[in-house]
Amino acid sequence: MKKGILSLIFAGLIMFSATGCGKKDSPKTAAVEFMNSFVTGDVDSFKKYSTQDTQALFALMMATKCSKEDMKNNPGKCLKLIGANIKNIEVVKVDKNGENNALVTLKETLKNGETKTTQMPVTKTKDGWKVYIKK
Amino acid sequence: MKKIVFFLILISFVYSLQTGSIIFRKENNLLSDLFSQIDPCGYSHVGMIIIKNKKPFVIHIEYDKKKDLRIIPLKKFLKNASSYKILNPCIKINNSVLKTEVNLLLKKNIKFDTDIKLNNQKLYCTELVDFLFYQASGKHLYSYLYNFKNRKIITVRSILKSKYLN
Repeated sequence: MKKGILSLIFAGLIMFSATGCGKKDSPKTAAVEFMNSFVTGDVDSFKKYSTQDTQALFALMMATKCSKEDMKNNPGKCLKLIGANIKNIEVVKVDKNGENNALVTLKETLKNGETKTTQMPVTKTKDGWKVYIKK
Repeated sequence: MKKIVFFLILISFVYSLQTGSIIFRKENNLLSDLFSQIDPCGYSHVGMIIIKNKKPFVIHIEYDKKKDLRIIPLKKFLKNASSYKILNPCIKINNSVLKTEVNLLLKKNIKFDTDIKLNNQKLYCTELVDFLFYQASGKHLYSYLYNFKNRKIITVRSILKSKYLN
């Protein structure tokens, strides 16, 4: 009996620590991680936190700043070219619009010290919250 | 809701919205910033106003997994806009021809042109409004073709500077 209880507590601790290490699936996480992917060049994060439509439009824009070779072999470099001026991202507010949509307002601090406000529409998909921006 | 109705009445009054008016939009995000940097003019997207049952709609095209070419309510088009501008045509627009062409494009389920090329079977936003304007008036809306990555494209600025809009 005692062993059983200890096993349950141990299993619970493992689950707690596992979820604690992962990033929470939320509009805020999606918006911040997506924007940070342009600072770090993290292609997996860019893909994980944006819809395919958004990825396609960014790919179109990246092609204007990046060589075909880098687009194919080093897409992280292309992401960083787009986010070259960004120094820091902070969440200002999250406005939920129903269960499946939200608008995240971010404050971008640029490398030259200027700040600007950016709005990130995010949507809940079967794979979690993702940025869904239009031009 | 009252605010939205007031807003729509106000812009209908101010701009005397009509079918064939051109609407320019800028959103407050990185993607819109990037698009607006091609031949800069402060806007990143463009559509054409269609009045249906006295209500303003916008026909526009952008990459979308479900459907690229859409007619959506004006308030939805401007939902996340940080700025916009509406210009009216100063030459005669044949509304009947325009309606036929819009229906034909919708029926063909035209796709957004990710290659940004003229003379293919797909359209990008400025190319769409120029195409519709040309069909309905016989005049190209763009004021020049912009050299972009060794190809000629219609930019938002070249539409904004059109001599057929005021």
